[in-house]
Amino acid sequence: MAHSASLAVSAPGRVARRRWDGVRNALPGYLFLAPWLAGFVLFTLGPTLVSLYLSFTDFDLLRAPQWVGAANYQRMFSSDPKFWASVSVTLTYVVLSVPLKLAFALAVAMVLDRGIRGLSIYRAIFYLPSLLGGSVAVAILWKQVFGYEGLVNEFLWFAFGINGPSWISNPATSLYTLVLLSVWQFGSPMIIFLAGLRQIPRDLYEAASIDGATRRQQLTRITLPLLAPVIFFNLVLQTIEAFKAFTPAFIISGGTGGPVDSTLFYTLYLYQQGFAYFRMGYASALAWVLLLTIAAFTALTFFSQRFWVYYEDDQR
Amino acid sequence: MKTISADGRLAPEAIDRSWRALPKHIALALASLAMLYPLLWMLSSSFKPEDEIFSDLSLWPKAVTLASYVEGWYGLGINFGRFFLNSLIVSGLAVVGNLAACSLAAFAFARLEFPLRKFWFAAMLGTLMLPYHVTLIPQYVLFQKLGWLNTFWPLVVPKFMAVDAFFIFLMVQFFRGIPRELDEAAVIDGCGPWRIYWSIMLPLSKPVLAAAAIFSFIWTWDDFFGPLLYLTDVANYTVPLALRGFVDATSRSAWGPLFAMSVLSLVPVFAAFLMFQRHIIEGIAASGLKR
Amino acid sequence: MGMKASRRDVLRFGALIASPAILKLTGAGALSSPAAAAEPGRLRIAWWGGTDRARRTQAAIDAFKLGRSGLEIAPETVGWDAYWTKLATQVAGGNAPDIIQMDYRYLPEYARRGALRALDDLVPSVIDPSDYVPSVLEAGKIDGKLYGIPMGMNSDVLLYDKTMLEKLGLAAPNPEMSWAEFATLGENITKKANRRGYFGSADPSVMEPELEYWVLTRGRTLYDKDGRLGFTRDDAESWLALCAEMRGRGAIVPADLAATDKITIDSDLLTTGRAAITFTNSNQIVGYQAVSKSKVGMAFHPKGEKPGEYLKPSMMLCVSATAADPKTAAALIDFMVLKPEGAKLLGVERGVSPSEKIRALLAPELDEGGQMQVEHLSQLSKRGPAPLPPAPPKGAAEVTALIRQAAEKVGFKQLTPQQAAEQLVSEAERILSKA
Repeated sequence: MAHSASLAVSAPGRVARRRWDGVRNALPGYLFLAPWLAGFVLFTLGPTLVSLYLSFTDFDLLRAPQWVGAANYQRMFSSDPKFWASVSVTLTYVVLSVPLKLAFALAVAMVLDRGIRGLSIYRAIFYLPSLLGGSVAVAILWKQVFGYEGLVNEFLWFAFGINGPSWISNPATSLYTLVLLSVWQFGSPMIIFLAGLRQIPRDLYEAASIDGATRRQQLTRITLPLLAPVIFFNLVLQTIEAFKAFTPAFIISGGTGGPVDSTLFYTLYLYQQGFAYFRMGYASALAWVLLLTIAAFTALTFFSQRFWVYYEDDQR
Repeated sequence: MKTISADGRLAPEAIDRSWRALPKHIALALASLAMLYPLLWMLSSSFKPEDEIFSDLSLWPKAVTLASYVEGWYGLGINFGRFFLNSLIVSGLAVVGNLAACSLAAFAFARLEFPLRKFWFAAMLGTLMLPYHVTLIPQYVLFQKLGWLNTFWPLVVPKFMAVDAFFIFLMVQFFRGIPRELDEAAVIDGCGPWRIYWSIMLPLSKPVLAAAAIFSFIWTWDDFFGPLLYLTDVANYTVPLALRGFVDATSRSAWGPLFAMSVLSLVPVFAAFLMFQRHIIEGIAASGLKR
Repeated sequence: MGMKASRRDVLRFGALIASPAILKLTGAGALSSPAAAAEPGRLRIAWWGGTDRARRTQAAIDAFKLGRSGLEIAPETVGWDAYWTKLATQVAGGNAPDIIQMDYRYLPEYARRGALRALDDLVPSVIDPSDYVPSVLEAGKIDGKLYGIPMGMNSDVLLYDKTMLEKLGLAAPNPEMSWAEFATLGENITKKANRRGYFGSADPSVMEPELEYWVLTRGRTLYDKDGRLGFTRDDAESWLALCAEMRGRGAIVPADLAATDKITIDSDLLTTGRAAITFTNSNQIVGYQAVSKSKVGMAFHPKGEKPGEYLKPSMMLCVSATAADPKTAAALIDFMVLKPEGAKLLGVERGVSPSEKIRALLAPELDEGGQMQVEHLSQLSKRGPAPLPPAPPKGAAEVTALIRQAAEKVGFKQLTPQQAAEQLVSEAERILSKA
């Protein structure tokens, strides 16, 4: 983690001073952290540990859990083809949707940052899809676009005389329509990018244009580097969200993960196991495997920071 | 700064009025249509008679009726305004709680040095990674033991304890974008951490606080699972819970009222968005921060 | 460089952390009302359903309370999907509602796990279903004990677009129709309607109840008494092959349309105007008619060798194992399903009553959908329904998903009917042996 920026001075000859600082500095740190720490211990830690325990049990929700050791984990990797189907669906979704969504959100945020009239209206309108989530209205829209007589097929028929399939409900293409859905709901990262763009001091651009920098140079030398912490945030969070994607599957299959498991997202499968098939122990094991996977991805992203993210508070 | 007026809007001379802005506007307007479609469909469905909603998906209702709004408002036996009030209370408190508690934690992570900081930071991120489905039941048991079922407490109190790590991490990233020279100067002036947090960090972080407020409000407003589990008395229902009361996949549903009330329920959310987004735009640039 | 925390800072912290306390001052209802729990004098009743059901149920509850001062009854209601998540969480948390509306398919899951209270000791003293259709009451029993009191009965049926068939000049499905005739009808609808994306019938192979119908007509059941698979690979293969043939002829929808059918009323292909015929439970006709511009008709399935349609409960009422006052809970159930006053308030919204007395009482008040149900079910009784199949075992929900999967694999031509049937049977057996 690049979180090594420190208030404590670390010259070798000043160990004693540092220790004193440590004690003195611990207090305000923990005071500021206190609400979170209390919430963490009270509301999060307990249930999390319980789910870890349950992952080693057979728990059908209604009767007391039975300890089964690592059986749930073994089963997952050795004899559950659906697990692998859901892994493949989820990884495809993560790899495609995250970069596309971020690129789109960033591009739109830059357009909507400043310069033309009516921006606040556009911003609000562009945030709308994110407000609607997985509602019936969104499902209808997706059917209207990618369905049997959807816009895409009308276009194909009109332009090429091709009779297209129902993209949204064909196992070969359904997941990709959900990737597009995720890109279309780009509102949250867009807002965060906007806030990030606003944090970049204007005078940098003024100075740069006085020095004769082109727009492209301003983008690569000022905007992107100064936006890096925010890009990093969106990257980490969108990756986590994509791994945990749950509602999009309801758009097409109403939560079955069909057709033929083509939209069986990992958390959807986990939910089915836990609440439809009454196997909360197995569901918990699935959840912990997901947690470890996401943690590994996140750690890698954090590690990569040293190559591309610069913080104002870094002392280099 | 010269080009930005006091209310954060661009001064007229900064706006590109020339014909060059026209293609941009056309592109944005077209894109807006793609964004607006579901809303328009919902709006049109809310005026359609029920037997037309799914059988005829066009945007223009053949017959317009206001019945859905009337039926929706009183449909659940309790005036729908009650659900709006409940949602407003829960969402409003969530905004306050998230902003206060998460900014405190974020300040600690971004600016203070203390033992185990990295450990706590990793733990905080870790809470984002576990799918909530497997903690639902232990959490439910916990709130039951606390005697908080059928109250707003389970929906609100955790927000005051910064349980939503998303916002902490978000604020950490923005706090770290604020030059350290500022607080170093303040320390020299004899300011403690509280003063730095309150008088330097928060004012300079308006855009991110506004973004966090938007998300807090909207996500709490839209939350379905929490209210579903913790609120049982209809009088305590929030809007999304009440909305689901209209539909049932296996029997006769009230689709018209569902869409009518869904349209209405977007109004406060939209208002919250417009209210807070002004502050995103004001931004740090307007405060004239020099490096 | 150090940062000092002054005492004032600490106080400010205290204020921030304690701020939930200000919530009390807002005086909103949910911030002060007591927690729900099993307490005498207070009953909680949970059901899934829409607004119409909520209104009717509330009216019945209010009527029941009239004679009993001091009794408080708290209703909890949501739609079908959310209902099961909430119920599972409540039961797991030891906080189940006293009275639980239960689906036929979930009854064994909850009863066998000890979440429900057997009602045998309260029958007939508190609840007296002696004039129930025997097979329907039987469906409320698990392992010989009565757990669920059926509220209404239904049967698996065909629904068809009457208006469309009349427009096309085609005869409505008749009770003696064979599968071959059904296929021809479907094909004719598709041809005569001649609209892109419009077909004769929805795809029955993705629906578990339709496979059940098929195996019943072949003298088998989905599951046997011991919870094992009750049908053979041959049964499944012939069914998948029949549907594949109909799909090939355009009599039923292609696989990509079938995939958009989420087995809900709003996504059903009849509702969305993609097919003229669909398959569902008889009591759902009310929901279908409400969202359809056409007249919706009800018919029997294509006839098989043996009867395949049977009477089953549309839904039941159960008492939680943790109910503090099961007697009053049972009395409320009795009031709603067997006392004329309560039954009148509920009407036939939950299906036609299995009690002869109540059926006769409600007959004059039936609307068109209700009349159709009564008419259809009495015809079914005359022609001889199939015997009630054994209750679905644990793991049945997973097998339901497998059935749909097998149908989709055939539909999208990933597997032949033979391969899909083989896979279905072997995986179903594996699941059932573990459950």
